[in-house]
Amino acid sequence: MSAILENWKRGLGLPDTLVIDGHVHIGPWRHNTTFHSVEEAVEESVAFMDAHGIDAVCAMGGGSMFTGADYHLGNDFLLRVSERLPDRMIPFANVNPNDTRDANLAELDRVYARGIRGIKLINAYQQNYPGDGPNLMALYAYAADHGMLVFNHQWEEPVIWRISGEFPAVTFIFAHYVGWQDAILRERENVHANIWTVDCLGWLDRGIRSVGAGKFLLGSDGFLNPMSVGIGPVAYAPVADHDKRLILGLNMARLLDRVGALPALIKEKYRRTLLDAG
Amino acid sequence: MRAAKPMPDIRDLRLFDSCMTLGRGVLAGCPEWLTRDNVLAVMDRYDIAEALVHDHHARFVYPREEGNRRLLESVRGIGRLYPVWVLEPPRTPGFSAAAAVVTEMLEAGVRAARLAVKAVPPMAWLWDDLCAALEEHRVPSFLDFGEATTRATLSDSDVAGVRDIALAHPELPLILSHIFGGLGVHPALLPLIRRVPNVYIDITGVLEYWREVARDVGPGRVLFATGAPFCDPGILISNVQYARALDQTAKRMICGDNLRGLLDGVR
Repeated sequence: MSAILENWKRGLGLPDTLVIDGHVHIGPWRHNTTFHSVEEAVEESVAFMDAHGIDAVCAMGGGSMFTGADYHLGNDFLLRVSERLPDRMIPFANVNPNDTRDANLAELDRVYARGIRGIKLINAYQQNYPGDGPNLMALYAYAADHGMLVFNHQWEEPVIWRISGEFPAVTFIFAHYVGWQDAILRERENVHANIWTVDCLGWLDRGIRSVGAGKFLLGSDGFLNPMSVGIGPVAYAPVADHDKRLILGLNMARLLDRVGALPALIKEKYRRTLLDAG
Repeated sequence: MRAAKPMPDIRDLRLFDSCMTLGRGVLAGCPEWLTRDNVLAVMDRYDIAEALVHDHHARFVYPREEGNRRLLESVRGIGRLYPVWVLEPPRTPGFSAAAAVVTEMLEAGVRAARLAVKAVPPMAWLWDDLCAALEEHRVPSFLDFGEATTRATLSDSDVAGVRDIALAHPELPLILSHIFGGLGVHPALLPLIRRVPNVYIDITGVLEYWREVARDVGPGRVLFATGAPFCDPGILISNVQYARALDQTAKRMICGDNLRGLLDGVR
């Protein structure tokens, strides 16, 4: 019996496991709401993390990311919340590639100066701007120059093959693992997948067998969704606890550490976990 | 990290899954199906004590009766599985034809129905006879808006139709099932549940909105469901188990006691 699964079933969360939810949203959403104020977001996001045994989250914006909205507002909100939770919340800033390239890059300069090392894209919901359109190619170049992670709702298959080849220094993360990404996850060291999706029985273990656990990252689309919905499939997956630990937190910690975005407390826990594992 | 406050042990919640699909199909991205041969092993893996099951093909391949009959064979001798027939209104109008279907179903040991409202839209005049026959026996009836899988979106007329049917048959427990398409539920659903006491919701594919029902209307109106094999059971089991705002009593109701109560009410 998996110790991770047994603890989870017993309602204890994930003791002795580093857990980073790599995909949550902070801010109003068009079909739901998360938190209405900075104060509420700070208090409630910690309460949610504590209830589930989650050490830290990678947080993205809410409705401000979509067509027609001003992405600066979402980044402002995200910064105000995450700066109150420096050990628990790692912000990923959003831009809209339909804005001018200069405006996008200026926003990246602004958030980079505030310590943000991750970019959240959702161009599929921004008038379907192409994933290899000129403004996004400029953004990837910026990410390469500045050492930033790039996380996107989805890239089309030819696009991810192209950009992951042209920008080998950039880590590209799919926000949703839906199965077709296996080949590129196997082939390209700099491509990873967040697991969050509502998918069929056996979907995750099939992916782990096909790709290996080292490419998958925990995610839930919390705080829109309950955070448990991301953990459940990992906890119950019929794979070794070693693989579960990679997905639950160690993989994300490694990627964040590489770009200097791992909070100090989490970094210490990560270091100890690696030492314990030999 | 250890949870700050322990949640209930999943085994104490006595899971009764109100939506499992039996039968093999072919669907990209669906690697594992539930059959007589593996369903108990899957239930054990997830600590699902009991389950309502229906036949995969009965939901969308005609004649539905073949799937319904095949289901009886699939569950024969397995006490933890309770068969559910997929029904639509008989072609012959009138109460007697509908009553005959319900009688046949009950005599076969089937105490819950899945109403194929995706194929036959929920217009009160179309469903009236069948719902009256089901109501006479208080048969829990799942309003199934899904197609081949458990994903669905509802139109305004769907919601209006459910309201009309529910108001016309106040003693018939109607459970909204397969109502989530990825970005929320129809905005009128929760107001409907608040206003019409015999409308329930199962949580197949519903990640968040069932909590609002439990909080604002009461946990008695929410039924646990995994939607397996079209949804990884770990998603929805963990969702209920680790819900912060519900106490253990509410979780036990949602996880199985509500459904047990509805089945006990069948006459």
